Amino acid sequence: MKLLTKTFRYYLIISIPIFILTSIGFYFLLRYVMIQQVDESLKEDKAEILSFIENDKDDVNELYKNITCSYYLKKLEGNFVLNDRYGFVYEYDYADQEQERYREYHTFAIINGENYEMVLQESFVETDSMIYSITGFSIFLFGLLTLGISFVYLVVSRNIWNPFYELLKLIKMFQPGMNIENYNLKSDIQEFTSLYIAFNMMAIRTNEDFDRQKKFIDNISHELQTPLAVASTQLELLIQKVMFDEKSAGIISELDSTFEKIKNINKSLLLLSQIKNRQFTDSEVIDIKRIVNRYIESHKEEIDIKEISILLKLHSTLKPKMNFALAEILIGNLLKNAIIHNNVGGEIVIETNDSVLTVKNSGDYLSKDKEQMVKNYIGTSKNSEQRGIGLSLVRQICDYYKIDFTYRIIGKIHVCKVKFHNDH
Amino acid sequence: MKVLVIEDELDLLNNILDYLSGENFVCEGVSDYQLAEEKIYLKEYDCYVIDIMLGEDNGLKLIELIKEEQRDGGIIIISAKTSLKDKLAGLEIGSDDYLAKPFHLSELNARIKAILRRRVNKGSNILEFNEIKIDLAAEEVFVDQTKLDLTVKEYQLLYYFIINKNKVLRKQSIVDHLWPDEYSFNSYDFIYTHLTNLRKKLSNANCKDYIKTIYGIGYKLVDE
Repeated sequence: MKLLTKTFRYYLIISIPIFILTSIGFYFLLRYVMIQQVDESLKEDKAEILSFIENDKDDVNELYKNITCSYYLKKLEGNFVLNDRYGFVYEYDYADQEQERYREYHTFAIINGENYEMVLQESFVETDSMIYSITGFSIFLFGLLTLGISFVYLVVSRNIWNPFYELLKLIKMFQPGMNIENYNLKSDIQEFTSLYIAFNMMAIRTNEDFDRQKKFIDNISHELQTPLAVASTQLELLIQKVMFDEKSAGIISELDSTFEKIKNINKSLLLLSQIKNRQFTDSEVIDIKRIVNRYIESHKEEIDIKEISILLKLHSTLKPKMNFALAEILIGNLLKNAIIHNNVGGEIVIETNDSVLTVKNSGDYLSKDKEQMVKNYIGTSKNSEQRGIGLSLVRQICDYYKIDFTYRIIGKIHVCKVKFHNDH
Repeated sequence: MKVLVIEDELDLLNNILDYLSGENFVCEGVSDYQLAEEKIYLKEYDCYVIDIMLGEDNGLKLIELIKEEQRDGGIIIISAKTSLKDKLAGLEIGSDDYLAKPFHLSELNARIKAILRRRVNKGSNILEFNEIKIDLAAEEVFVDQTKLDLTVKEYQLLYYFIINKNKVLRKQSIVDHLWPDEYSFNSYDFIYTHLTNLRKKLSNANCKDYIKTIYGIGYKLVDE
């Protein structure tokens, strides 16, 4: 989860309940206070009225000036006392032509020695609307506050964090050998600048190591070319000049094939180094079907000599993105093996679907040879560092492009599956 | 016909000159830049074989020099650099061919001869060996007047033998000639089959069997 999302989520989890509870609490508090206020006013009005009655005043206008309620008195029969009671009632207001709410004070008074029920009413309509307005306004304020802080989180924070995300993008993109001197971190936040400086230093170190390693492998490989060239040409000259007997010819022949092995190892080493140095970065969409067909065309003679029948089930949907030369090497090697390690009159089946190229071929082998062949093809160790230079090219290319390569022998059929990622 | 080989690794240079000494062209070799310059100024050669990694890329300068002096001999670059990019770059600066080290001397021989032939009779494209005649333009082979029906590989094989006549050809060099871009194509069985078929077709046309098997090592086309 993103940092801003998480912190914002926590913020919401805490602030929204607070907001809601506060709003509700505020409403009830305000209502309570207002009601208390009105009730107090009604009590005072009762005192005013009673005082007015007891003092036997004449001018009711005087009274009406001092009270805000309306009231009536009802003589009580008998000698019983009423308790004070407050409540809300609805009365029909002729002026506004609707039911309106009133606060009512039911009480008891003794006037001139007689028991009266006294009811005082005050319109609560204005108070109600005041409560609602104040509450509404405060909700609005709280809402504004929440929105404001959310804004800070989502927009302002994003701007503040932007340099960090830019830096993160750079780090993800970084490959050994990449030049990042031109990148400038636009931020005055200490933590970000420190991070950038640390990353920069690490990148410089990585690049230096990478360069050194690249030169080292390149050098070794090229250094080997020359003595190899000298030695193998010496051998070539030697066989022109001397007639060898059977035994010596055998030795010469082994010498020759040893040179070839060294040449191949050197070639593989060079190719591996070139792949790792990203000298094969040109990628294009590869038409696997075409490469397969071309290979079969150019090796028709050998296929016919061995009387191998080839069954093609090629869909045009397999179009991975990779370097063309490497694709050719990969497919060439797979098909070459299918031809060479095959019986006379054998079969090859080549299929493609969306992402997998499968090459199956028949092959008759004694189990000892089978083991050796699998070893030669795949390599003897699971750990790629340990396998060193003796890798087959197929394995190298598959590792580079993270292509899934499996080779199984089922009965007498060799099945090689190469799974491409279509989204390189 | 004169060929100039420019290679700074002396042992390799000597091997090249030794191998080519029996051929019907004159071969000179130099191993440093100074001498190479002199030779280019003083003489005209039909073919230049240049190591492009001479010292530090001086090989390129020599090629420029050859162009400046308007020598129209063919240029073969030999180089330890084997990538496609390098090959294309080499061809772009004006070379006619590019051979990666380590190469077979027999292959170098074939490339030199291909260039020389283009310079000789600018129309002639016939390669003859006793009763065998190869029409290089049409890619057809005749024994006396009979046309042989050879497959592509059989044709290439015969051509390679005739070009390198009287030289022992190792099996590997034949493989590398017939399948130039294969990695570790170690099957000599196909060579054997192609050769057998070729021999059969030749003998069916009453051609003498010039191809000798050198036990354990390779084959040789012998001019009797």
